[in-house]
Amino acid sequence: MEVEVDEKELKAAGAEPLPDGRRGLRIHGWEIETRKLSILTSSNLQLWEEKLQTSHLPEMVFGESCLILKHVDSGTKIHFNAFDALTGWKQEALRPVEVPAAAKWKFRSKPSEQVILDYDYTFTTPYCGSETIEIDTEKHGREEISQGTYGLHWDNCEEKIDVVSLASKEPILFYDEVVLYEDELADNGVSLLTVKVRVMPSCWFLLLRFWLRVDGVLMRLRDTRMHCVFGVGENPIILRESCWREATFQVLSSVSFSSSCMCVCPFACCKIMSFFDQVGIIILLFLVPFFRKFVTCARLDLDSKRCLCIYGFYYFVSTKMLRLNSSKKIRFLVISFDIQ
Amino acid sequence: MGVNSLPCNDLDEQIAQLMECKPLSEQQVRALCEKAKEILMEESNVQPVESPVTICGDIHGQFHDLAELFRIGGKCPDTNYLFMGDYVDRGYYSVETVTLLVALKVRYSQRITILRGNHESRQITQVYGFYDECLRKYGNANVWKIFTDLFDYFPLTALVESEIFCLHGGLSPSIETLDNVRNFDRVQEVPHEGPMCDLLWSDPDDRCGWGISPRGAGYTFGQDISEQFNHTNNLKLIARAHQLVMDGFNWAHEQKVVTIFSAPNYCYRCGNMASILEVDDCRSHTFIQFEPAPRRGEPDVTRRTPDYFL
Repeated sequence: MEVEVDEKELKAAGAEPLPDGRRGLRIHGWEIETRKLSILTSSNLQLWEEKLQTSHLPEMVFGESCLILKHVDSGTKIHFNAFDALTGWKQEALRPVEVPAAAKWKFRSKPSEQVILDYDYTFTTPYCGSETIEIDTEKHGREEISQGTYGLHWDNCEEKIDVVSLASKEPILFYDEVVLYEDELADNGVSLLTVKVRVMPSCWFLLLRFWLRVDGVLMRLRDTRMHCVFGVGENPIILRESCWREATFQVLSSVSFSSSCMCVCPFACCKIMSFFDQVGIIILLFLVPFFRKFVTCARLDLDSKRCLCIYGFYYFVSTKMLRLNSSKKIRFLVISFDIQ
Repeated sequence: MGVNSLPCNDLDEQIAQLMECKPLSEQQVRALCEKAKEILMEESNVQPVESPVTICGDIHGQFHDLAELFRIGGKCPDTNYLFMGDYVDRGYYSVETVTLLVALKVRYSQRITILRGNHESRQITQVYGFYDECLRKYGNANVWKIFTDLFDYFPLTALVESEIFCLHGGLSPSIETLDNVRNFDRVQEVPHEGPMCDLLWSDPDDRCGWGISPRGAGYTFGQDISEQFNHTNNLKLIARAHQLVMDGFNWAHEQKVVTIFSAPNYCYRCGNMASILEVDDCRSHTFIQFEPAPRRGEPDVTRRTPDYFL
C-alpha cells in the first residue's frame, strides 16, 4: 500500500522512510516495517504442518507477512506473524463449535468407519504479539534472543491507553494493515487475524484483531492494542490492552435490532450474518458490560542500555473463563448504525 | 441440436457485450435463463463429456481472470470447456461471470458444461456476495432469483471419456456407483446434508476413511475411499475444485484425486496461481497455470486510505 505521505511532514516529525523500497519508516529510535506477501506455497505449508504438528491450517496463511516494530537501541522487537499466532491456536486448542447443519447430520446414517475430526477449525488464538531481543555483538554478529531469555515480559499496570489523544487528527505518517491468516470456514463464516498500525509524529498505535463469525452460531472478537508515546522519559513505554468478547447468535437474536436494520433485511438472518463483518464488530464493541469482557493494561519499558528493565506482565485468560454461557443478560447499549 | 439452431444473432451480441464485462438487462437475463433451463434439464446428473476438453475450477466472480482463462485456454467454442462450479460470490463481477457462462452454454450447449458448485445456492449467495451484487447492479433481487432458480438445474457431476469423474466437492458415503448419482432428483436447493450436499461440499484428506469435519457437518474422504470408488467405477481420476490451492492444482491420494482452482490471486490478495486442466484427444493431461489478468478499474484492495482506527 503506497500511502502518499508529505515528505515535509515526515521531516518535521524527524522520521524517514525505510530504504530499499521497504515499507515503513524510522522514527524516534523505532524502525517500523510491514511486509505483505502471498499465502504460503504448498511446500512451505507442508513444512508448517510438520512444525505445528497439525494437518489443518487456515486456507490462507500469509506466512511471510508481518509487522515489526523494532526499538533500535535496545534491540527489542515487537512483531506479529502468523506462525506464532498459530502456535497459540494449537496450544489453546478450543473445542470445535458446531455449525447449525450439524443438528441434521446427527440423524444421518453413518458409514461403518468414520472418524470425527477434532481440532479448532476457527483458528481462535490467544496471540497478542511476539517479542524478541536482537543484539548486535561484534563477535557473533547478530543474535536473536527470544522472549524469556532476558525475562522480557509485560507488567501489570494501572495506566490506560489514551484514547482521547489517539482520536485527535494528528497526521498519519505511516499506516498499514497486514492480514496474518484468514479462513472461510468452508463457507460457514469467517476467521480473520489482522494487524493494523498507524504512526503519528507523537506516537505509534496498533491493533491486532482476531475476528470470528460462525454463521448462525457465534461471533468472537479478540483485540490487542499497543500504544507507545515518543519521548516520554528516558525509556519508551508500551501500553498493551487486550480485550476479548464473544456472543452467540441466539443471544443476539433475542435482542431487538433497530428497525432501520430490519427493513433492509428481507432475509433477516442471512443478511445480518453477511453484515456482521462490518457491523458485528461495532455491535460487539457495545455489548457491555454484561459481556465476558477482559481488559488489561500492561506496559513494557525498554532500557536503552540493552539490559532490559521490564515491568513484565503476561496476560492469560484460561479457556474456561471464555466458555459461553447462554447468558440472557446481554443487551445492546447502542444499536443504531448506518446500513449504507 | 434443436436449441442450437435457434437464431443466434442476439445471443452473439449479448456474448460480445458480456465479454466486455457489461451485464445484460433483467429481461435479457430472464429470456436467457429460460433457454438455459430447457438445455440443462435435459442433462444428466453425470453428464457425459468427450475429449478434448479443458477442465476448470472455481471462478468466484473474478471476471477479468475468466477472460484471461479464455485467452489462455482458447475461446469457446474453439476449445471445449467443463467448469466445476462456484462462478459467483467473493469477486466483484459475479453477475457478468455467471451470465457469460450461461450465455455460452445456451449458444454452444455441446461445447461447454457447467456444473453446480456449493455457491450456486440461494442460501450461500445471500451471505457471500452474489445477492448483494444483484441488488447493487439491478436495484432489486429479481436477477438473483432468476439465477438461483436456474442453479437448481445445473448438473452435479460430469464424466470425461468414462474415466475422469468431475465434480465440485467430492465423494459421499451414500454413493458407491455413478448410477447412484444418476438416480437422484437434483432439481432443488442444495440440502444441508445427504449425498447431493456431499458431492458439492466434501474434501479429500490425508486421513484414511471417512472423516466428519469438526464443524459437525461435512465429510472428508481418504485415499482408500478414492481408490475404492475409482476401482468400482472404472475411473482413472477424480477432478474436483472447491478448495484454494496455491499452485492452481494439487494432487492428492497418489494421483487418484486432483483439485483444480481457477481464480488467480483469490479475493484479490492471496497471490495464488490459477490453473486449468487440458485433456486432449489422446486423453493425456496438461495443467496450464496462469496469473491474474492485468486489472482495469477494479478496486485495489491493497490500497487503503489510512484510517484513524482505535
